[in-house]
Amino acid sequence: MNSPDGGEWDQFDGISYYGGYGASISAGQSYLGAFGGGGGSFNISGSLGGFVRTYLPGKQRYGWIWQKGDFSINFSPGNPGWESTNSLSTPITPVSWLNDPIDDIYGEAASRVSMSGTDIISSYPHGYSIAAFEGNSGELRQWNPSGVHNWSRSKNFFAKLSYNFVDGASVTAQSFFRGPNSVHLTGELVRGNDRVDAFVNTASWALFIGEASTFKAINSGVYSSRWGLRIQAHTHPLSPLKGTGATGTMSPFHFNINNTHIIINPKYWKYFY
Amino acid sequence: MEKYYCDSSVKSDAQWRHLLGLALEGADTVEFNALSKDYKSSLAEVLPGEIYEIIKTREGKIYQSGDIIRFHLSENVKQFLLKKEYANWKNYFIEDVCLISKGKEILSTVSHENYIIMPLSEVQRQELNYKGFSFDFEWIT
Repeated sequence: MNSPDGGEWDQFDGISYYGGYGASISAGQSYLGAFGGGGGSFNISGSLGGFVRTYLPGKQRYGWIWQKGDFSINFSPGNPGWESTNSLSTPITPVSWLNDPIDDIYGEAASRVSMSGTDIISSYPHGYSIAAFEGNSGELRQWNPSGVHNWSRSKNFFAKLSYNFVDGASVTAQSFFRGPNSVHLTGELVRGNDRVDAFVNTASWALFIGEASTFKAINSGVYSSRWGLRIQAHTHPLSPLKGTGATGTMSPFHFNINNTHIIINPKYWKYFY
Repeated sequence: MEKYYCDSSVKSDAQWRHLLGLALEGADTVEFNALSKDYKSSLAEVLPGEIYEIIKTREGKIYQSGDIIRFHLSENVKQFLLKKEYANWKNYFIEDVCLISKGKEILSTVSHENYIIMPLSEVQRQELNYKGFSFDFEWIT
């Protein structure tokens, strides 16, 4: 079976794509399957929306990976306009690089390009050529995120918090013995400010945990003698303010943060605030 | 007729000692609420050899939070009470001093709220308020 411009489909184990619809592959390489050593050239220029709509219908998400996690593109056919993926909650990310030479080849601009698949289109209008990588034997294949990848990309607050904590600790620890070869939990090479971020993140957590350990459980709350901070939730009679018409104490459920009362039930507010 | 009244204005140690002195004249027992969960080791340090009871709940107690720790008011315990400044009871591992005479609370405190609660006749209440206290609200549980 031929593609619209005459190239072969399923040349290896995937889809061949020979240009058209604003995206092109030169040198006849496949999206899914092996690149031939030295000759592969993969150009993205303009819109990939046509390609997505035409050749990859019905899939919820695709990812592409260059070598082992070097280069990946995710896109959602539910919003197949490549440019409009800027507005997706899950944009065309991650595009990340394991090998530093990209910076040597393309400089700072390439770093920006590599941060987001969307940027490949918007900030690199002349397209991006994998052929620029010398010795580019490898494969561009569908990327199936691992559990760790999904954890790292989670939008859930606690999942993200926990990933940043564990990944930060891992990167910081590796920095002592793996140096520039340190990798994230996802297998991606640590780049740029990642190491600093990881250290700051880990240090912050260590500080937080250290401080949290100064709190001791008390009845219905916690207390830190170090900070003189007492947080307690309970009910007992409270002495109202004078002039509010009250003649006796009342017992609203409340939080104590040191001497401050946070009374939940608004019917008591006029007596205490 | 006596009612329990609450003063939430006491700031000075002198005021506290005045009320404490009144209550100690007739008290035979003192109770505390345990703030920290590991109070037993701390008790052994500050009141070595003193025997105490741990009471889980006592009906009619003015204010309970956690375990109630009850001491007979020995001379040691009395000195322990007198040595401690009023402000230092707040957030102490045992707090909420409660003096009892023949089963009746005659001075109770809620340390973290700065509350002192006493059973007072109207005359007693006015006398104390005349001396600068503010027993303005009846304690209603």
